[in-house]
Amino acid sequence: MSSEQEAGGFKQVVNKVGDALGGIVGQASAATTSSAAGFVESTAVGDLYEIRSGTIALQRGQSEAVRLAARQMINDHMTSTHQLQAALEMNETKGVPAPPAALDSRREGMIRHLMEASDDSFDRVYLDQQVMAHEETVTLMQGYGSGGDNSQLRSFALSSVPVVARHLDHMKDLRASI
Amino acid sequence: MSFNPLTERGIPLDRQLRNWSELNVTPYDTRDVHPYTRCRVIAMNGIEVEAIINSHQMARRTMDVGLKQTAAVVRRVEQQQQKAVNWLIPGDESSIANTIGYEQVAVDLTAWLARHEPDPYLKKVYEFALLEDFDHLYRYANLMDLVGEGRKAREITQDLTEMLPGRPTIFQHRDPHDELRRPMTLQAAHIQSVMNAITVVAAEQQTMNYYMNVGNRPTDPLARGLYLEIAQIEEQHVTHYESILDPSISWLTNWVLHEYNECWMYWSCLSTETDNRIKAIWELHLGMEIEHLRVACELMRKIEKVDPAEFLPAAGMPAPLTFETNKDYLRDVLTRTVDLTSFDAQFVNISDLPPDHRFFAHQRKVNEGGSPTEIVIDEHRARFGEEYRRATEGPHPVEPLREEGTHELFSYWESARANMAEGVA
Repeated sequence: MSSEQEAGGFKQVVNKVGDALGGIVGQASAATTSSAAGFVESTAVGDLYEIRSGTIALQRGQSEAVRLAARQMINDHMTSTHQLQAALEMNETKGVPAPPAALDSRREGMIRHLMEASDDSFDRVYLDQQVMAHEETVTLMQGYGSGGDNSQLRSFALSSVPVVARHLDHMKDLRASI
Repeated sequence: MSFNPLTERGIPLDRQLRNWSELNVTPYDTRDVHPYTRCRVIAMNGIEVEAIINSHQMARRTMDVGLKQTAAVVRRVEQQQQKAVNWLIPGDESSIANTIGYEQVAVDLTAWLARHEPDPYLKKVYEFALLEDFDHLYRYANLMDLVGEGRKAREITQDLTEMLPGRPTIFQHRDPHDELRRPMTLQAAHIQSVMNAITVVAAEQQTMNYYMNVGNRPTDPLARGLYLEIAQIEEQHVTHYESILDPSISWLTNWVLHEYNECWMYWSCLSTETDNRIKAIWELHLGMEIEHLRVACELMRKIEKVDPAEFLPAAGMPAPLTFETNKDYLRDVLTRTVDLTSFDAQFVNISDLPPDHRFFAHQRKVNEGGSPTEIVIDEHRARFGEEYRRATEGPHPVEPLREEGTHELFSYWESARANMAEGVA
């Protein structure tokens, strides 16, 4: 193994640890989100991350199953984005701040790690991130759906739970199969 | 003064059944009836059909025999009400003439709902489909001339509603995912929004059902094609509108809201009807509905331990819905929104869709080989030298949609040329 390969391998391990630590932070934050502003921010950034990472996986995914899953993530999280935008146009959400238009630093890091993954490890990195991201999203949607402070956004969260739970199951199955 | 059906006394349930002669009402005169009386009759038939179908759905999803029994009693009366209303339509009003009436309902009912919708997103939902029904009226009006009806569409509408192109029907065919909107929540929505949504779902559903059944009655292949193409849009519209209803409410809450809606609609008809004979039917049915509402509320309190006063306004109902002319509003909506399409729950300009959007794939599929809603206009031009249009307020507000306008400059035609195969564009 060349020193360059060793350095690349080390970097990917560091990236994986970084993603995992970020995932723990994300889970903790998702479990305690009960304000409309926090929920909108987390949901919007989560959707942006899914669309960005799905677009990368569509290009770089090594297996057909991963590329198909990536296409599904882009479509479903685009739908989620549009549903959230619609919810925020309603009187029921008057006063709730607009969602951010860019990723936060944690998801920027995940995107960077995905782009830095070698071709051989790409599917594994993408699926690890997907499982972690969807665990966080399921926690966020279930938590806000049962205890959130805005009825329209609670409705949005509860209508998202079955979709993101299916995503999580699918990503776990895919990860187990590679 | 506001009307509150919760504080009124209705007709006791055991005195509501009528005999066959009472139900077999004398129809209106199709050549004499006021267009908006016809509209009220068509709309109220839709309201009753929705009440009946909703009650049947509830009956199929409850184990409670007592609830089934009460729902069956109320439903039997609702069925009688539906007969008394729908039998006002005379047998000598042809399917195409009745169709013009249905589309006039779709236009002026939806326009009123849009104008009175307090929620900005839901207002967009109404305005979006309004322009599509507006276009259907114009296409059917052209068909009416072609099938040798002997009457002009304006004899039905009496120029209370203009007949001009809206968002062309050929471009209304979208991927099913793009018909799903964001639902309101009963907890936070204004009662006007709740009433508006139940009303429009009932109206669009009956139009969908009507075309599903009468669309095959003409012998002319073009007429059959026109009905089936527009029938598919009515399916889209039911999907579009039903998706704004709160999907989380219980069956009993839904029943109470439907009864409340029937009270609002009959009270609206009673408040605005000009035909005294038909006004008496609205008054009788309002008395029945007040009792249906009381029965449904009582069951909700007993079964779910919820008082409907928690979600029904103490101050009474919203102002009565009125069938009235909406020409200026329609022209404003045309100018502002004719270029819109939908992408999931959002409304976007057609030129903002990416070329690989599913809209274009759907268009290529269904419009391959031509669209009857375009052919009917071409046929009218070929036979009569012009289209059938009724523009009482001046030229069409969208220049490319004028009869002599530069059609190829219309945004949708430009997108079609840019993104679709020849033959469709």
